[in-house]
Amino acid sequence: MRQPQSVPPKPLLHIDGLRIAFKAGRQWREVVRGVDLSVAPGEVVGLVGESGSGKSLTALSILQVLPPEARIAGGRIVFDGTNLVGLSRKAMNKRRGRDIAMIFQDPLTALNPVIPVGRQIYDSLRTHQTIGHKAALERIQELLEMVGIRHPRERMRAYPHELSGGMRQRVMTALAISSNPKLLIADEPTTALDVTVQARVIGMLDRVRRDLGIAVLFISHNLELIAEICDRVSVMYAGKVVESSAVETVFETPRHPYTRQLLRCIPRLDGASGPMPTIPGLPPRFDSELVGCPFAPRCDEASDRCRAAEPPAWREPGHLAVCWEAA
Amino acid sequence: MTSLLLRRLGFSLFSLVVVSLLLFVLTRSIPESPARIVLGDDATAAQIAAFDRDHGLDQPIVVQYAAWLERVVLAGDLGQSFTTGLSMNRQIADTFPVTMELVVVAFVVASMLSIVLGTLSAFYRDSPIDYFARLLAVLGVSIPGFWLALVLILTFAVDLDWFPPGGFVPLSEGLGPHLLSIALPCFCLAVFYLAVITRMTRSSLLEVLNQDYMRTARASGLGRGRLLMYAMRNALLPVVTIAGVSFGHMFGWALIIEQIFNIGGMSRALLTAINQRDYFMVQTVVMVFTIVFVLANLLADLVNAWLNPRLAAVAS
Repeated sequence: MRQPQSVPPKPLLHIDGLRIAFKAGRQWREVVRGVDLSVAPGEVVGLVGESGSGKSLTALSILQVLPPEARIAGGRIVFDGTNLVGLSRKAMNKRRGRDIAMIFQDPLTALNPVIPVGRQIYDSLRTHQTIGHKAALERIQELLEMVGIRHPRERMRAYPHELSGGMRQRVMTALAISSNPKLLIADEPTTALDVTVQARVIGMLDRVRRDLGIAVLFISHNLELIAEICDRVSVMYAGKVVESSAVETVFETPRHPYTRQLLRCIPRLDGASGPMPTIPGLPPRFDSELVGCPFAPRCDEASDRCRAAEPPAWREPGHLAVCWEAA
Repeated sequence: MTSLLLRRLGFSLFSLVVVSLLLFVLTRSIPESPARIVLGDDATAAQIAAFDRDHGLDQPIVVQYAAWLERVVLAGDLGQSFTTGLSMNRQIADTFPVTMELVVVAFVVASMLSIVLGTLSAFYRDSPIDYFARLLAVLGVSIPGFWLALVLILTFAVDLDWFPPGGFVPLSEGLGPHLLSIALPCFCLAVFYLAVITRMTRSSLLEVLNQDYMRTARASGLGRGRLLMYAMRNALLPVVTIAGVSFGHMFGWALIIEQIFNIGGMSRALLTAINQRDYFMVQTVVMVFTIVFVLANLLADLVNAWLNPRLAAVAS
């Protein structure tokens, strides 16, 4: 599915210097510290990083559904030519669910427990489209079929707790694609699912986004998955994108030591037995003061320069790495 | 759903039987025979035995209970008070509607206002309306109802003369005077529950607003009305339970309020019965309270089952 991406066309989504602050006691601390990211129409971009790297907050900020203790502190999120940062609630609501839709990690908690799943899709449909009652019901059946749910007529009356985890994530997907969005943000959509179900849900997602030509921002900590479905990938560490390129490049010639270490952590069936490689240490706490490269304390290639000053961005056409040693 | 309904219904019936049996046994185990009260201290043992025999009081308690239950359930007849000879049906019919009206009016006002206030308070957290609601909630639970009643009478009835200081004007004498006569008592009755339900609505809604599914709803671009509906369907669950219990409690509180406002409701029937050592009437009044309490909770459970499909799923 990876098509060699030439110079990307005008991006659908372009995030520029995004900063997100989190309230820690009385202070606001920046946890996303200048993220640049872009997604072209129809493209699948992976965003990878450990928990706490700011990847989920970045995703939530696009739709401006951040938790109350977080806020966008700076930067631009340009979607289809419009900067979403600072848009009114009304203008934002015109895009939410219609131009940009989102799939969340845990489909059990992400669906309203006391409202039938069909009704939840119905409400979204009728919010964004002038569609009659009967047409909406037919459309819901069509959507449920599209995401691989059999007997959609019965299933639409079910409550979330009456469906299996995989089924719920399919419903979540149907809800997300109900108004033909241009961009789908998938925030670890399979993390909460059984391994056996994961592959099928991913397969379904990939088929649906191809059929409808939807661009996807795919957030995950699973590198294998990213390799499988994404065109490009951005690696985040401590609130910044540290490496970004086409998937092949990142996997074959990673420039950032963090990316290299992440790749080493992918379990292999063929390789020699031995302890699972891990990256020693922990990412910096979000309330700590950062000096130099935030990865330096865990990096086996770090020098004094790394610990003293923030590394510059190293660029090559289609490849970015933020590391002193990249060049 | 049906099985849940049957279970709740069964449980309610069971509670009623247990409470009535308990009341019955307690009333009958008062060492003094009602004959002593009716016939006076001079009555001979033979007279008392005759009285007991005439009224079936010499029978084993289980037999008495069965007879009582049969009469109450099949004939709807609560019987006559041994002490006063009055029909207890009549006494309840005279007093119950008065108390019921006070409680229903107070309950409807309290729950409607508090749900609106609690919702505004949660949606506009830390805004002036939220501070107002929180202040009201603290005041409402901490001000004693009887004290508030006296203050209100002094201010609005005695000084300002807006309301009658007490007494109950029946509806037959005009809607205006009737409403004026129940305004202060209903207010006193409502305040505490207004506070309790406001707090419950607020905290429940705040929790719901933080849930993932509300984020999904926002991410879907739903309008304010839809968002409110999505939140309330979940947030109301604990509120309904509290409201059900509150309704039963209000019935108890109504007794004190009725006394202060000199309203001839069930409190008068109960106090008169206690003064006259009319244990059977006391038993009947307490039984009526139990029925109201059980029914209110049953209704709350049913509303919850309707609001929350998971409850029905767990039960079946």
